[in-house]
Amino acid sequence: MRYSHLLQKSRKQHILKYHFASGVISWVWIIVSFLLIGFLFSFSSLDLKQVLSGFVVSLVRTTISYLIAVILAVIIALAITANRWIEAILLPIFDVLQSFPSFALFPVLVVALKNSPEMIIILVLSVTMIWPILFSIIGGIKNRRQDFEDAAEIFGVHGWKRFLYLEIPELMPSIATGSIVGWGEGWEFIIGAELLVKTNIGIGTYLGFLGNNQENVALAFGIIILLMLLYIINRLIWLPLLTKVTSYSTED
Amino acid sequence: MEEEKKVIELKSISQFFEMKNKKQHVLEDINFSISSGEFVCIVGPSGCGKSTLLKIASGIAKPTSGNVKIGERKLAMVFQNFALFPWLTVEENVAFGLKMSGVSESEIEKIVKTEIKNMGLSGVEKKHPKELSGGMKQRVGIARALAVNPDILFLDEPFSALDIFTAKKLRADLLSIWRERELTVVMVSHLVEEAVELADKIIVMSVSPGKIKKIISNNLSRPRNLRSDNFYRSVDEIEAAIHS
Repeated sequence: MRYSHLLQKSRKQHILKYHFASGVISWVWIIVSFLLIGFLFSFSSLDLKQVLSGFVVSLVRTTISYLIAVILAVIIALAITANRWIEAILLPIFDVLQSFPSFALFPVLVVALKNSPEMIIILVLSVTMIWPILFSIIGGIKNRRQDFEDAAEIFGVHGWKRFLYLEIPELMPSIATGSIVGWGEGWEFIIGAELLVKTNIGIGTYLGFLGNNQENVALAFGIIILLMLLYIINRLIWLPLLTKVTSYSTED
Repeated sequence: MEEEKKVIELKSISQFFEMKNKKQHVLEDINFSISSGEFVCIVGPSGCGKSTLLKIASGIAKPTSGNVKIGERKLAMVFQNFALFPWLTVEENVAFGLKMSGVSESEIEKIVKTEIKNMGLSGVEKKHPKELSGGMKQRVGIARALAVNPDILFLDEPFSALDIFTAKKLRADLLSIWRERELTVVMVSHLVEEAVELADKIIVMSVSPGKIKKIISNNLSRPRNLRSDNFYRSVDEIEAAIHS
């Protein structure tokens, strides 16, 4: 008893040390990223205002698209897995649709929404981001524990309470995992989407401008700065979220 | 008079699942009733449908045919693998049923505090289930069930995931909870000794399809001596019923 207590204590200290070390390393990397960004700005013809405002606008577009994708993914995943016949019909169709290149939607959307470039970008991005999130949630639903459902049932948890207090927290690990992949794919696509739609502002628009003007060094630095900013977002938002939700995902 | 005392009544319960277009009978023509304050154990070999029967009796699952009369009684269940929500702390898990039934925050706080103290969980309120041992997890499972002040407590092999010493201690705790709260208890077990130690009535089931073979009244006086001749005789009687 005493021995196991000591063992547990030393394990706890070890985990605390690990968390402290990984936290310190994280912050060191974030500070290094900021320093590197400053360094790249001072040694190139990059326009700070253009880069930052472009990045913020692209970030807002990606965030809106992500929110649409994640809400739709949760609703669709729960709806299709609620009935095995609907699932048997829709799942293979979604499997084909997910491999359909989102950029192929551009001509159709440009014709349909020619006066709304923002709508076109957000729609294409949402369509791109939804698949990894949707399939990750469907995977999560397949692995739901029956006894959790039984426990909720015996306490009379139905309807929206069941959705809010059982389904969402139980599916959080798969929502987070799918979101990280979807978010990454979203950033991959937004650069291309902003170039194709020819928006006035956006990080893709600015990088495209640098490329067209053959400002190669500034373009390369701009890409590195974009990667650094995305790394900082990952470190500050996605990784802590993933660590938190996966810490309880495998067992109680 | 006898009719009034019945808290659960199962009539002509049958359950089958369809697998690859083949009907698989899990339960066939199950009939029994449980009186208020009784401690009932369902025993039988693996795959005889004990857990399915418990789910049907508690209303979690619907039978293919037959009916269950349980009335407006408060129910709670304790699970084999604890079924504690890993995203909630110990106190949040204990409060879960109360929160879902709309009890006021101040009332919840009071009840949770009492149940945590009664189940010997003081000091771990803020911990998450993964930080607890199996025995502690099951204590949380029992506290969560008792928090809603149930009339009937269902337990699905509650001690089978625990080591023998913890299981022994929890069995003793369950008996005092049953006596003090005047609960009706329905428990599934695969251990005949456990059933004889705890139950007033033992329902023996057979496999493929799951049927009731025999319902045995266990009249051993309490507290039960687990080394007495009578105890072993009862164990032998039930084992003989299972294997006959």
